[in-house]
Amino acid sequence: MARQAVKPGVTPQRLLGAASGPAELQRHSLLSFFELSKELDYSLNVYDFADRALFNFMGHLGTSRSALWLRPLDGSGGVVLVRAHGFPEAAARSIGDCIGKLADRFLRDRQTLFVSALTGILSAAEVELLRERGVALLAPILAPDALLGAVALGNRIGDTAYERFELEVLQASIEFFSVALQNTMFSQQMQENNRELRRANDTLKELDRAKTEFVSNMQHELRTPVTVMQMYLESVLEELPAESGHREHLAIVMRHTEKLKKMIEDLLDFSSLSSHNLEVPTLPGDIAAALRDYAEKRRNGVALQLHDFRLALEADLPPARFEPGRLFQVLDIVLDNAVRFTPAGTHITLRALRQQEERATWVRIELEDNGPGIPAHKLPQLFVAFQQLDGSVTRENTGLGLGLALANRLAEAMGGRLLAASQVGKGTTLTLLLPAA
Amino acid sequence: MLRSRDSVVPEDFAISGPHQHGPVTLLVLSGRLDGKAAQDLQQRCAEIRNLGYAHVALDLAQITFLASSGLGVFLAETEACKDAGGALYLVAVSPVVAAVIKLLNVDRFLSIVPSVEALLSSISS
Repeated sequence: MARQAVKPGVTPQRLLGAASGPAELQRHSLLSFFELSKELDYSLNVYDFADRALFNFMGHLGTSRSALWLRPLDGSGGVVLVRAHGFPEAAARSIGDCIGKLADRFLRDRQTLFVSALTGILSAAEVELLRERGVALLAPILAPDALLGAVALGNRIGDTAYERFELEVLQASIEFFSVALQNTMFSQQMQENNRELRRANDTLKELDRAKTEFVSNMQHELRTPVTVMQMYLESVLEELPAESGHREHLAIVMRHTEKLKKMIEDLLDFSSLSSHNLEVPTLPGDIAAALRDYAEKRRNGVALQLHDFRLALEADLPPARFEPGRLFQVLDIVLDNAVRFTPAGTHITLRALRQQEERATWVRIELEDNGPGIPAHKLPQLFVAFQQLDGSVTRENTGLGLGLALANRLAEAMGGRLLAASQVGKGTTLTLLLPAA
Repeated sequence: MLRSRDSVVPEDFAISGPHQHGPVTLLVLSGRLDGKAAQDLQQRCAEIRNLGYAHVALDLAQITFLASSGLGVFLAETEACKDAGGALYLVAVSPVVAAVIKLLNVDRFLSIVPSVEALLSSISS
């Protein structure tokens, strides 16, 4: 993906040069291009970008089927289906497999490929599959030196052929789309990096607090045996005859025991200053507005990793007791985990609904993904500090394993609870319960 | 080609409804159907389909501008409603919409009806 802003290579001269067909269709084609150039708003995320482009191409060329794939930012693996319209999702995924095999060809020729011209490039079965699915053409989305993804368009309604000038405008549109997408993703990646740095800083603070707590606990453990030693030493000293030669030795032991005790006391004072109990003052607030605000802030960054992030709020959610900064911290931890531990193409939904219990009303906030899921025996480890589910040294996702433990503490500090449920092969749901106000 | 009527003030896109007419769920659209509006419209149609209503009608009498994206959504939703066992109907198509549909020769693919009453009587018959 782009590391710096990209300039478009589409010029008015090139577009006008392409316009050589029937006047009305020419005009429609060019207008479609200019509409697209206005519609690709800088604030959109990858999924909105794909929707706007695909609807534009469909209306430009008169086809009822289209789909768009992108490669993950880190360039790993094949293309990931971002959006499909008119193609069933399973069909779109199998088309994506074919696109992966065309990557070298796209990079070399930098041209739209008609399915009719793919014989000999793809296997006969693959060409037949594309035909059966109603795919007419596959167009690459290119950066100067990389394939970013591809667009598939279906046959035109009425089975009329794609005109040359229409294809040239389409190619220019995809080129423009590619430039706008790269620049937007570059800018959004920077924003996302800043957010991750802020979160890493929060984690470091928590690590520091956990370390202090650990030292504090150890000091209590140390102080008790030293106090016992002192008591017995005093008792022995009292009973020893005044002329005993051992008195001098025991006095030295006593002095050093006192010194050790003083050092432990000092350490204890220091740690009690830095180890304060986590207190989160909460106020009643509009939880629906807070979640909308949160989803708006995170949607683009999540989409960058090719995860489709959606918000689903139940109507008439009651207000809840929470502290916005801490709530966002919990949601960040849970959402970042979902993004890190599920593959590109995963759907993530942030949902909120009322949960009525006999004596209490809660606002139930769920973060659900359709990723690979977590085995039942590993779920209890989720909220344990310094534990990652994959404890091997070769694990892909590094980290301290503090995130969910902290999220759990924060949830409890706001009077709520954090729960986890998962099914292997189906996905994982982390649930934050907050007391209704 | 006619795309917009003589107006210097861009009209905001608005969706009114849904209004239920027998088996048909009607949305009344007005203003400019551009890229952003097309996305909003597609999301509303998807919500209606997800609730199990697959016969969706769009009243287009007050549409003053149709971008390619708008037409793209008509085509995409025609496929989606068909897959859900229903259909998408375009009702009271305004001249700006009719011009683009005719130009691209997609009128045979779309279900275009003059009015809600005509649609309901054609369904009941």
